[in-house]
Amino acid sequence: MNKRKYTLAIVGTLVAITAGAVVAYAGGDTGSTASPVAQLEMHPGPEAFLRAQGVNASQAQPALTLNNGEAVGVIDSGGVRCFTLSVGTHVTGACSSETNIAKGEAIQVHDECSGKNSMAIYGLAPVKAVEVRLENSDGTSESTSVVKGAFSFAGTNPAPGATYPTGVQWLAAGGSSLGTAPLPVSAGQFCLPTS
Amino acid sequence: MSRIIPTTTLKFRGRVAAVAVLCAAAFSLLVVASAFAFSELYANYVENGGYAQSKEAHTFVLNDGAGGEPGTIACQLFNHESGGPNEVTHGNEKCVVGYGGGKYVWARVYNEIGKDETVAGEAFT
Repeated sequence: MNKRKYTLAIVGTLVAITAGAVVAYAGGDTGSTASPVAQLEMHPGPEAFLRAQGVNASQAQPALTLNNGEAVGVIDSGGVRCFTLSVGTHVTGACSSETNIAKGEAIQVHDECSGKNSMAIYGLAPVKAVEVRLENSDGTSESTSVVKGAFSFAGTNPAPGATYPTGVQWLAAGGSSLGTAPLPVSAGQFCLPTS
Repeated sequence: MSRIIPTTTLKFRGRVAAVAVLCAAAFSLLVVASAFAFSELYANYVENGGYAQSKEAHTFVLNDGAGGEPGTIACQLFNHESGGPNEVTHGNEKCVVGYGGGKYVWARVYNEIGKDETVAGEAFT
């Protein structure tokens, strides 16, 4: 093999390696409708759910800080919105369509179950919502404002037999209801065992 | 006065240069990969209330969870120490949970869908 062919072979190999690495990390597609399990398997690495939709955490607009210090951001990707969660320098997140956001798919209920017993309910609200009402099992409720498309409530884990949050109501400007959504947790499930 | 270099020496130098370039490329890829530190992808097909769990405990900071079909799941980072970390996040089809305490923790994803289903997680240090 002469010198030119040898050089071309090396350059070609390097280009192929680089392109392969970039495609493998980026995922190579946008707007994935694959199941969440498939999204994890197809996009291994940090921010898998974000990359499955063709976005990355650097696009997030800071929105809220949770009661445990973790930060929530929002990415609007045209028809699909994502929330990000930052823990120190680490970032993750997940995306949902507007239809599924209205159904409550982008709600997360976080419980710190080892002493502080803090609870944070956060997520994305429908586009027209300016306020979110959190409804409890005893009929009481509390409200919070939507900030850049996101919302959060701070509280403590409900003790067994105590009142617990059950769902949210999306409220438009003027107080009219845009619909309701259940929380992704049931009574007695807030904290999980470590055994 | 120009110096005459034997052809065999040129070929040798070319090979050395090629090996050096390849080593540099491989090193660059390793540096990029190391920025993500350790991660583990795990999954299991389990009954309602069951879970998939990481093989070992690590200094995991994040745990992403996924369900095989619509329904609720929960992500967890914890260890077995008395009063040790136990961070739980419930979500619909997808959940994310973080732990910034630096201790060794296990990662789990619970099936709360209501029937047998695959749940998967990926945890990162």
